[in-house]
Amino acid sequence: MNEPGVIHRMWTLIVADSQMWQRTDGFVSAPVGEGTVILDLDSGRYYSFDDTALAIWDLLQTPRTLAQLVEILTDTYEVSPEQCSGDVDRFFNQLLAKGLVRQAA
Amino acid sequence: MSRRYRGYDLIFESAFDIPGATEIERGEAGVTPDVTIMKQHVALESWYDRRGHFARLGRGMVASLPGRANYLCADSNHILVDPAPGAAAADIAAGLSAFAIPALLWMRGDILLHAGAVILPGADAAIIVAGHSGSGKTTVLRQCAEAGARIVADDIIRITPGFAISGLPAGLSASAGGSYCEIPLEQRCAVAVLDAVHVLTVPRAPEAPAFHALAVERRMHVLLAYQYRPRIPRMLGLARTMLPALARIAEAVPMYDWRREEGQVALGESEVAALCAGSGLHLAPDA
Repeated sequence: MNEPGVIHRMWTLIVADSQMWQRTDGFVSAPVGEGTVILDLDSGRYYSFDDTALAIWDLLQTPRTLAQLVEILTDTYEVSPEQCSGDVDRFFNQLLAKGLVRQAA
Repeated sequence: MSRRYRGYDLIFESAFDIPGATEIERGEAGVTPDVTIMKQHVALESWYDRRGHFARLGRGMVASLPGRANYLCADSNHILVDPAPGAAAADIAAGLSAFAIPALLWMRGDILLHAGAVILPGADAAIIVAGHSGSGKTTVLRQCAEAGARIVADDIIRITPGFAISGLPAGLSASAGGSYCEIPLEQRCAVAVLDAVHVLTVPRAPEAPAFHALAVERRMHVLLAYQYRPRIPRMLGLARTMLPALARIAEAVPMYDWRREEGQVALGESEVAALCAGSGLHLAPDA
């Protein structure tokens, strides 16, 4: 398991450098009920995403900064930049901890 | 000398015993076997993408069990078995049931679950009983059989389109310290329609409800968690089609957490009634 401190330092790096991020390869997905299940083809691990998580996941098909993510989401959904930024922050840290996102080249 | 077996709703012509399958007379089926299993040398020099016991070999898949045999699922209709020197026939057969035939079924595009299935007396559709090792699954299946239930599958379930399920119904595996229990012919069911899934989970407090309906997202979790050797479809590149197929099952088939009391062995009357109700067990899904 990643230490919270490691994630925090990486997060600081993101903000400082406007780092572009994208999701890692090798996943398939299927809608199930109100959400979507994402399956890691290599490890067999699977994750359940709600609509908000899926929107972020879909956006990360293309390399983006977190600021860009927040901007797109606030333009698309009725959510305040503060609320959106917090949601993106929390979800992105989970993706990072699970190795589901990587720095874009 | 090969023999014919019925199992997983398929006809096998096999040079090796298939534990749990029902042996049939050569003329009984009256059709070409669906799967042929023969003894043949399997050259492994060119294999690649090996993970655990399995490896891709060309368009096929190899299961390699040291001291038993190498099994090549050459395509969706043929398994070649290359026994290790001195390997016991029972060990070769066990590897066939546990590794090679499941690999072949995945190659055919079926879904495999690690669970048992029965049709209870008076019912016309099957329930699946799933549960991790030690959850009491075998004990429950045996009691169902003793109560006159027909056995669809002992330990591995094949699900085909239309939610038809099948398996190897000729016997129930030994639980810890138990013995193999052969199922009479009239209690074996070759194929059945799936009605509901019951997942044996952690023991409950005496007054707590025994059955909890699962929301569709939890059902998907159950299906993913109880796939039989899920590495195989991923190695075969089948996950893209398998995942939506699992989602369709999760959407359509009711599933329940089934919590028994600590140390409980005998099926209670309320449990039997709930199991017989199958999909008619009306419970609101857990939040």
